[in-house]
Amino acid sequence: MVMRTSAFAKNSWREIRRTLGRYIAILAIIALGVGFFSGLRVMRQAMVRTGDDYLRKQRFYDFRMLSTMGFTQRDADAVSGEEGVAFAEGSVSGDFLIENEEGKETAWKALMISELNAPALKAGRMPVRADEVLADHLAFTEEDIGRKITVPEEDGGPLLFREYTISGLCSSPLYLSVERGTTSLGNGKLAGFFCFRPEGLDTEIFTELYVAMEETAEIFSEEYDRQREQERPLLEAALERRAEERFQEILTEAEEAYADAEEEYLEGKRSYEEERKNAEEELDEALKKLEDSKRELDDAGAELDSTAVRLADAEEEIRRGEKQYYDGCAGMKAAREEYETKKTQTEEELAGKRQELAEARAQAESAAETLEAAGAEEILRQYAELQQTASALELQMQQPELDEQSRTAAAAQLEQVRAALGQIEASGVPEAWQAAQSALEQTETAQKALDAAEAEAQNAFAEAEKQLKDTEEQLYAGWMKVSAAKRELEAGKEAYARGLTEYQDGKESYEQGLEDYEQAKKDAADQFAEAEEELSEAERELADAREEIDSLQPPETWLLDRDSNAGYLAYDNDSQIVQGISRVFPLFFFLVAALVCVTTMTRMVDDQRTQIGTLKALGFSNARITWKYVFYSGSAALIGAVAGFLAGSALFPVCIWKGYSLLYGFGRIRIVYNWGLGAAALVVALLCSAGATYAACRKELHSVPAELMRPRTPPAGKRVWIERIGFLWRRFSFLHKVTARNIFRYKKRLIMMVLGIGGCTALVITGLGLRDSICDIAEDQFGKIMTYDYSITFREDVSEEDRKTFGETAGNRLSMCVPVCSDTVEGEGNGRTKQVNVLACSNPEISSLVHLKTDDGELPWPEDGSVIISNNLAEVLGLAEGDMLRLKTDDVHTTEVPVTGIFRNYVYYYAVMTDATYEAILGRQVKINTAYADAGDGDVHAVAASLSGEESVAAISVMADLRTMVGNMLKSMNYIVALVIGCAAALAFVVLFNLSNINISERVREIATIEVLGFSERETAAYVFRENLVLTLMGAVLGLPLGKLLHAFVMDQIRLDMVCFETKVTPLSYVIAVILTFVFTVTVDLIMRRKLRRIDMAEALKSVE
Amino acid sequence: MSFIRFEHVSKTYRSGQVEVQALKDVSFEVESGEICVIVGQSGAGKTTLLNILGGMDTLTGGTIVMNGQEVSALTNRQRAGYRRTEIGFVFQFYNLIPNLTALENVEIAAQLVKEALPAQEVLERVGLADRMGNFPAQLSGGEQQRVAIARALAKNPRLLLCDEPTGALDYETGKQILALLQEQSRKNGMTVIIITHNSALTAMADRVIQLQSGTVKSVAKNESPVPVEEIEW
Repeated sequence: MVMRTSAFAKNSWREIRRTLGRYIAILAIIALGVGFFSGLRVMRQAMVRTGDDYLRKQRFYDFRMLSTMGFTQRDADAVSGEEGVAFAEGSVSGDFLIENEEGKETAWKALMISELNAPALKAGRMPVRADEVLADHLAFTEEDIGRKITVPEEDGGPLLFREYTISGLCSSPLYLSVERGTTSLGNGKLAGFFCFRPEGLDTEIFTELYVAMEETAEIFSEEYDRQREQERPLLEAALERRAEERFQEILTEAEEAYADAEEEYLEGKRSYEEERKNAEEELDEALKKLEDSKRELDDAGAELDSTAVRLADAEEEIRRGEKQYYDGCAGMKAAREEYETKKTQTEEELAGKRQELAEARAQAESAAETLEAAGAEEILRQYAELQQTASALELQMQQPELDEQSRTAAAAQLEQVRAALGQIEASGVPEAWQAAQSALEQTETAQKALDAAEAEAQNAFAEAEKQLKDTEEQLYAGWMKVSAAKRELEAGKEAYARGLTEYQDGKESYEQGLEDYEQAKKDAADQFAEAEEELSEAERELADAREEIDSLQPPETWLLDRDSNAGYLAYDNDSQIVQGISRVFPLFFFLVAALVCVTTMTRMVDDQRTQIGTLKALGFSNARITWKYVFYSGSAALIGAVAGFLAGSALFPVCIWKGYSLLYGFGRIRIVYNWGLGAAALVVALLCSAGATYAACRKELHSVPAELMRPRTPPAGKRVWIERIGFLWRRFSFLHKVTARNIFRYKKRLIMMVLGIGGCTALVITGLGLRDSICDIAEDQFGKIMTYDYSITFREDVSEEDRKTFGETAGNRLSMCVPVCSDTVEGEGNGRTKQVNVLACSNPEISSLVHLKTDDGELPWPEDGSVIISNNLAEVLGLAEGDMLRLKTDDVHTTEVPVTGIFRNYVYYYAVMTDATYEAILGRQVKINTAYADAGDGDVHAVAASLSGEESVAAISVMADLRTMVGNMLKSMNYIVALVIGCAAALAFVVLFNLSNINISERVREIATIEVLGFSERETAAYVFRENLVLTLMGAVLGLPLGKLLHAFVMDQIRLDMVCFETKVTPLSYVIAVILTFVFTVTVDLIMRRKLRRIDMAEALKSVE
Repeated sequence: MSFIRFEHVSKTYRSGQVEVQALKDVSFEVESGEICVIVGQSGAGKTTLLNILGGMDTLTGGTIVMNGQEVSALTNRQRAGYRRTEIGFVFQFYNLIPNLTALENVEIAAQLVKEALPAQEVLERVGLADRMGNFPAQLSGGEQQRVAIARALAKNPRLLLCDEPTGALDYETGKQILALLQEQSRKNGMTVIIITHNSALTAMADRVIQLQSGTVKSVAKNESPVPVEEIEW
């Protein structure tokens, strides 16, 4: 601005330079006030903006659809087509386990990388292959990129592969805060998430449908809620419609599948029966064949036996035949020998006879020759004729028909012949003839007999020979026959042997066949049984399927909005905490600053009355004079306000965000300048400075210059009230009396001072109180309420018995071990849903590990049929003793249980009950999954390490660690608290400095006077600062209740999820706040001493301004 | 041995580039029990001289000895003690502490020294027996200056330094004040140095020092000082 009167302008600048301390103090106070105010006030907005940017960039969903039957692409397409919907996308998520090197299992969430809720890459690169994943950036570090994760066979959730490679780290808009949620796997706590490519997951059925709407206002805004509220019915209808269609599809599919299955079953049954029939027939046939062969075998056996008998007979016969033959041969040999002997004998006899004969012949022939010679021949012929006539007559006589005459005639003739004969005979010639003839005849007869004998012999020989030959032939034939029989026997024997072998073979094969048959029969029976079992199984399955199909309900669907996302909600909550703090606190802060500013300016104008008078006397207009002071204070306010606004808006969010970075690591805070807020702050700042100045100037300018120029009539020294308390006043040393009077001289100034200082004290107390209320939580929670040393989680496969007796297993490592059932159930109430830690235990020892503290003492463990809940839960769900706690037993159903007590607790929401209550209300078996334990002998961590070596232990959390962890979590609040304390301290310092500064400036003359009187430096300082100390004391005293009030007010605005705070300020904090205030005072005094020392007595006393 | 001895005292103020020589080679002596009046025009260096002598300011060169004590060699702390025990000040504008009654204004000084005079007695001596409980604002200028003198006297100082003690007072009152000072000096044998631009007052002095532009123009011993009452100006 152009100052027309340069001297006047110079004066203004000089004024500033001369009182630079004060100027800067005003500037600083305003800057602090405006900065703190706008910085804290804008924090929520900055957080919202930052969150909004992030969520927009990652395309966070607006609606999330769930269905008991899941979704298909068709559903997604259908929803995409709805009015107002920008995009709908199916997604798959699920929990799975990873086993680490030590064999400990951790549970993780699998997310699908998709357009909506896109993960934000923090390091590495996006996955390219199906088996590449992005890992939770809070659970992994850059060093883990490239590492493989191995998923156990079972519990792989929707994962297709058993091994994935981490390609990068990311944050996910679905997990804004560090809280990763719970799961039914592992220790029940999700360690983090992984983002998979759709190809890496089983995406046949989408588990959820994310919907992005076209019009979306800023997050957490009313406009946003309004938009969603408007769209909700439409989407609900669409969801319902899709669900119905999908249900029909599924029903049809199921029916088809059932029909197919039934067909298959019937087919199977038919083929079974057929096969069975065939098999049975085959078996029967085989059996028949076997029986045939058995019969055949038996026949063959019998035949063989008879053959054997026959063979034996034949053998016997052969033996007999042979014997016969040999006997025959022997007989034959004897016969032949006999024959030969007889022949030889005969031949010899014959030869003898022939010889005899030949001799007789020769004798006879000689006799005959002699006779013949004698005429014997006619006698012998007559004799032969007579013999003939005699023989003929004998013959005639022998004839019966011959008559007696002829007979007598024949007989008489015969007698004649005979007599003739007799005559011849009597002649001896017939006789000799006869004799010769007889001899000859005898020889002839002998010859003939011999010849006959010879012939007979020859015949006999021939006969014998023939007979022999015949016998021989007969023998031979017999032999041949025997031989043939023998051959035949051999053959028979052979055949028999063959037959026997055959029979044996046959028998064997028959037996084999029989065995095979039996086996086959048994196998067949088994197979039949199996097949039948299978069939009946199939039948049962079919029945089940039928039942299932019949009981198929239309899917239940849920249309969830962003508030169902824990991170989103927590972020909203946390930003609201900041808002809660920023609602009252900065205002108060600003008030203090304004108050001090007003005081300062008023007193400055007061101080400058002489100059004002001079200027006025010189003829300057009131406006110009006023302008000088308004410029002074206004410029300070303007600079301070602008600087404070800019710095506050930038620094505070960054600092607080740094604190929150433990909880929300998704990005840098976006710095927001709320110009409206800034303008308002500026206006207030100007009002408090320039306005106050203006008001003060106006008051002074009412007076005439002469009056102004005269040394101001010192305010009448007055007796102060304290003097009336005689005994007290008399105790005061003289200088103390002076101080007392000084203090009470200016009521207004006193009030301003005390208020200013008290305000600062109050601010510091509030800051410290925030710390107390927040930081002691960990102490109280784990030192007084949940006092166990360990929470031990059991492995799934550990038997109930082992869990119960774990304390004995642990031995003296644990001094106490109480197995409990720890479950997470959602509780409802007050229109809110909260994760409630349900703790079921019927072991009386639990009371020494979990203390149900109330203000009046400790509650006993609840009775059956009732629960005791933590105060934070009671508060959140709006419950009081005697109310009913509503718990969700599953996604759809709820149950209620009476609350019989409320105990103090800060971290997590608890509902404690007995086992019986748990089973009764939640309708499921108490499953001991956790044990709370106290360490026995030895270091807490050493014991923990040794316990985690136990097979049954899945995880062991050391509560001391948890305490540290919770403590660390709360440190993010500490940032804000530190900021608040720091700012309060800074303000207190500036205020004190300013007030002190004014005090000294105003009383330079007085100070110079006492210095001249010979006050030593220390005495002078004491004289001046005693007042400050008393004022500080008064301010501090006022600040204590003020601080308590402000703290309570601020705490009332703060609500954190899962953690509740106790509104309390420890005595130490009061002490610290007071001490701090005094430290500031003393520090300021020390600084001011230099100023005191610089006071030029001569100068100060020389003139009256 | 004189009570006060200035030897070649010089004082130069330096503010920025500008050097102002307030005193140049000032030498004089004052005897014990004397009333010494220093006269000179405004800016002659009277107040500077007094301030230096009273231990409120330091000198640039030379030596000041009072009662055997080398004032010029005192440290800050020693100067405070020196002011406390040796010096009584009376200012043109009284410089009473507004928040204290007349009696208390005296007491505050009296409490500083061991051999202080009883405050009440001193006030009675200066004629304010009945105004002791009043605050400065309730007193007239003359009364206030009396309180200031009483405050100075109560410490029973060796040296009473008065800077234009009547400057803000009317003629009569001024006279009374001066008479009071003269009386105190004569009665108690107290050395009093009075600064004034009024040459008429030289008559009441035992010794008159004239200052001009920071130098001593003359030092005159007045063998026959007159009581103040007889001086007219």
